[in-house]
Amino acid sequence: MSAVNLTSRLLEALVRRARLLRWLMLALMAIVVLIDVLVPAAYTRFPWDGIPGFTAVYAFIGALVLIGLYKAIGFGLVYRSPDYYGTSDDE
Amino acid sequence: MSEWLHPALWLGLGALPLALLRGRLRQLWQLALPLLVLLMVANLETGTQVTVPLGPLELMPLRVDSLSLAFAWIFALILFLGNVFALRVDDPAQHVAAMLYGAAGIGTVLAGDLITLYVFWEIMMIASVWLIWRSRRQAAYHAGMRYLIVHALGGMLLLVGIIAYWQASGSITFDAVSTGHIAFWLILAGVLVNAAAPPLHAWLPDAYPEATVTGIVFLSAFTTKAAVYVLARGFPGEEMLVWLGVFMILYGVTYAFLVNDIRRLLAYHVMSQVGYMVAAVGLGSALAIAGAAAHAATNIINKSVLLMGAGAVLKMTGTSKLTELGGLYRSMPITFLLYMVGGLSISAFPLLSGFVSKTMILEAAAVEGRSAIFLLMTLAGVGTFMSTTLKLPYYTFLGPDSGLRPAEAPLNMRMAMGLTALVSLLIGVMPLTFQALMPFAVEYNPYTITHLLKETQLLLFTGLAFFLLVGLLGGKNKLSLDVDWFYRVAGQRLMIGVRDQVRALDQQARQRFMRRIQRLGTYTIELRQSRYALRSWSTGSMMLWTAVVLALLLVFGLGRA
Repeated sequence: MSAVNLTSRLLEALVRRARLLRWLMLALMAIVVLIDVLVPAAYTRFPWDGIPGFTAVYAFIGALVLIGLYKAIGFGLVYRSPDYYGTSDDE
Repeated sequence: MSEWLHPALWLGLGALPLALLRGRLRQLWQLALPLLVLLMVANLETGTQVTVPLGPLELMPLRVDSLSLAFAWIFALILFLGNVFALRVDDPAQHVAAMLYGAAGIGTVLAGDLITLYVFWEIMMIASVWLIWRSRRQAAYHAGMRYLIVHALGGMLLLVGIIAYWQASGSITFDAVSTGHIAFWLILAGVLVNAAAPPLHAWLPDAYPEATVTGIVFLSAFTTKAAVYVLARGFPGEEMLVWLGVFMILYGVTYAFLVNDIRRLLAYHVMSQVGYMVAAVGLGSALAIAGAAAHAATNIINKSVLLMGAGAVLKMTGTSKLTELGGLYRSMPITFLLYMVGGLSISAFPLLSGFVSKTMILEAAAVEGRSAIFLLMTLAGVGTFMSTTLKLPYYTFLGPDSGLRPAEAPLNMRMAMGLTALVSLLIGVMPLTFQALMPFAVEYNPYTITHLLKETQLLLFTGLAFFLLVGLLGGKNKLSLDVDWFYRVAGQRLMIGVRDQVRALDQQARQRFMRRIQRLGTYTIELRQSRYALRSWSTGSMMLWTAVVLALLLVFGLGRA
């Protein structure tokens, strides 16, 4: 079980440093966008290929739109009580 | 020589002893058999064709080319890894079913004619349902029944399509099916049932989460991917498939985000990932078809890691509901980390297998200038990352602590997850070796600076949006209706309605008939009581009736010679 304990302790240590990890992530985000600005696009097959950071913006806005859409579909259309089809946990 | 080395045949036969073997011997055979099959697949030579005459037909049970081989080796590999995961399951029926299912899957992709294909196709269905039923719950039994019925209908469409194809073309060889004939649509519909393409998909998220902890790994590997193979062989470049595939990807990720059961979440995600393959088959270029095969292979690997992780959680905690889980990283840290490898890989994180295959499909769309397809697939990548790699692990392993402190998963389960994750990593760091196993020998380098930048931007900024709203995104203790509602509720209501109508009609008719009989009865009694029939008859009327009878005899010619 020592491998399990060791991994567990490692993860605990990382979780304790969540704030540091958050800053690292933000720095990484800035770096990948910055590289995109500095390095010219290798090809322009699509109109947006030349725009630096396009994928970043697209992913961020896309994620927000998707979350909104999921909530609307869930609460507006498809959510039902968990035993809608009869009891679900008939062990 | 090689005709005797059909891997499906030996795998099918080798499955049978598992019904009798016990203990260590069973475990040994369970691991040795898939390895032997893997060896057989590795020894298959491209170009091999074995034909067997059957009456007027010429069957081709074995046809080896780069496309069939790509699917055969990954099927054999996952059969081995899945069996490592199932090593401690003491249920012979499951082991036999899994091996027969794998044999049928390999048989399907190696079949050179439509009849052999159909036979293996149906064996897949019959063997796989046992992996659902053996979880021995009432809900699993019902879900398995629905699974059987849907697949029986799909199989019927396929069979009728094959017969129509044979009638029209006089051949049963399985190659690209020509457009414009009814056979084309019938075969396509039958295959799309197994590919879980909407609206024919509901069997998958309905049945898979009811399967056993170990069975779902095999289920996610064979049926849908064998269907992808049939599409790639029979329907390459079919434009309709591009849009169907994209719709599938988005439909799958949407439901994956909505459902509460982690295995159902991953089942919807199977459907979503198969959408990439269907769309790639629709694009039809050599790069796209190779991408479809590559994505099938990496997806089998990645999805297995994820389903093994989710299965381990279910086994150790007894629940697979997001709303009941949380904070498991303390007690199941290795499962958590290995799950994350699968999750990151399926989200196309560089150095893992998903990156290699997914960028291949995106590249195929980009080369052809399909801007809408490209953007929608990228958007679906956002959805994939959010549901399988952020939401599921966050609310299962991190997030609000559920207080559950299960033991870490058994060693064989961790080994299986670890080995499968290792395969994913190897494919990720050695894309050229991997591509050599894929059809058409396309030259494609996933590790360009553009691909790396785009994928890392996509993942990081999706993560940013997710963590900004993370408080709102936990599982909801709800059931999400899908189109299976039409046969589970609407269909049932329709049947009950029709039954009631028929019953009412039947009762009315019986009552009316009974009333007539009763009226006739009363009339007869009245007639007898009135003695009208027994009254004395006058001579005149007797004469008249005798004359009438004689006249009738004359008219109808009685007494004539």
